[in-house]
Amino acid sequence: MKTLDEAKKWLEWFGGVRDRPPGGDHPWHFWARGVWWGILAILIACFCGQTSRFLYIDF
Amino acid sequence: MNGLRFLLQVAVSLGVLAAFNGVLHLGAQRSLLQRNLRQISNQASKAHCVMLGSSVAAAAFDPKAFAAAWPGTNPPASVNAAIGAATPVERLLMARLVIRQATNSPVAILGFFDFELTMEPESHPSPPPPRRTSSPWWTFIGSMTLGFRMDSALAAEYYTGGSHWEYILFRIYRYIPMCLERASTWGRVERLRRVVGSLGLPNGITGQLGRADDFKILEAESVEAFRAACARRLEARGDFIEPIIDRLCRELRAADLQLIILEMPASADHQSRFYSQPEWAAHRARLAAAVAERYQARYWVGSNWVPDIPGMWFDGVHVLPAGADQFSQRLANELVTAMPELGRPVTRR
Repeated sequence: MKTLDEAKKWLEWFGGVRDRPPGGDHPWHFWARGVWWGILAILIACFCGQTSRFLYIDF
Repeated sequence: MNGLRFLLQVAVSLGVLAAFNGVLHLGAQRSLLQRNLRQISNQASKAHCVMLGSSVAAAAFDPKAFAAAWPGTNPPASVNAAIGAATPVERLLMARLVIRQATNSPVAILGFFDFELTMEPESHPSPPPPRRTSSPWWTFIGSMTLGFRMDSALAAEYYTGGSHWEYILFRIYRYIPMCLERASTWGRVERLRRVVGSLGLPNGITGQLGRADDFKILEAESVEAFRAACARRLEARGDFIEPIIDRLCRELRAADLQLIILEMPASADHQSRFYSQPEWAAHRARLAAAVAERYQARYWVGSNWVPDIPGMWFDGVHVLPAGADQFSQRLANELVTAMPELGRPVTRR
């Protein structure tokens, strides 16, 4: 139960609900959040904007 | 969170994006489009016969089957420079690539189906020169990005319609792999989406191009729609031949290439529904007369060159490899009869 609660807090921090990560700030948290934003931007680029009739896929 | 930390996070995320762009750029060197471009560029230099056109021609012409069907031991070298999922601008660029590389005054065969060569009058009531492509350039993916990779000044002429602001954006856009190469990631996502979407459903017909059912949109919705499309073109006062195609043909002729306009094979269903209509016969006759007059080109009807039997057709207009064998053999036989001198050494003027 404690693990689940801890995981929920981490996810909330990643999702922007919390300002600070569980256990307080550490220098690597800022790097990790920067990486996370980059990954989110890449995922958005991969999944957004496709036409509904994506005919040719063998590029 | 103070401002410095925020900026640090933004910088890190931009670094991740830059790395992703680098990976995309490196991966793009091995993409199908880049591999095809390199292959066409190499083969065009020694080719005596060049196939140009859309995906219909790209799927139908097999240089190996063509060479095997040629009588004698010295068949003319050929290259398939047709390009699918592209606008006429990219076909013009491909023709220019062939012109630059060719040394043998090859015969160029421009394969087409339905209305690929003729102008849709209603969508362009008064086309100002230079005419824009029907879709905005920032939506282009895959083969349509050819204009960002070669002859970009010519491509920009059509893509941006003379807008200075758009031209600047066009020049920047081509250096951002996340924009230019996004089809490579989209393709992977789409494959995954199709696998998940087909779970529990009966298998549809798929091939190298994708799902056969998707390609039904390339054909007219109905016989009436097809006849009306023919009639609109025949009754229009302006250009009959699509202006970019006209430019393509004129540039081929100016480079001393002989030109054959070839009506590509179509399935029996497509022929009986659409090509049997009197409006299509009139469209065909006018197109044949126009290309003969403007470009001194021959017009060949190849719509019945591939029999409609199992294993030959992917959809109504694209053939499978067995159909490509049939088509290429027939093309070789027709060329032997019409141009027996093809393949003999000729020096370009």
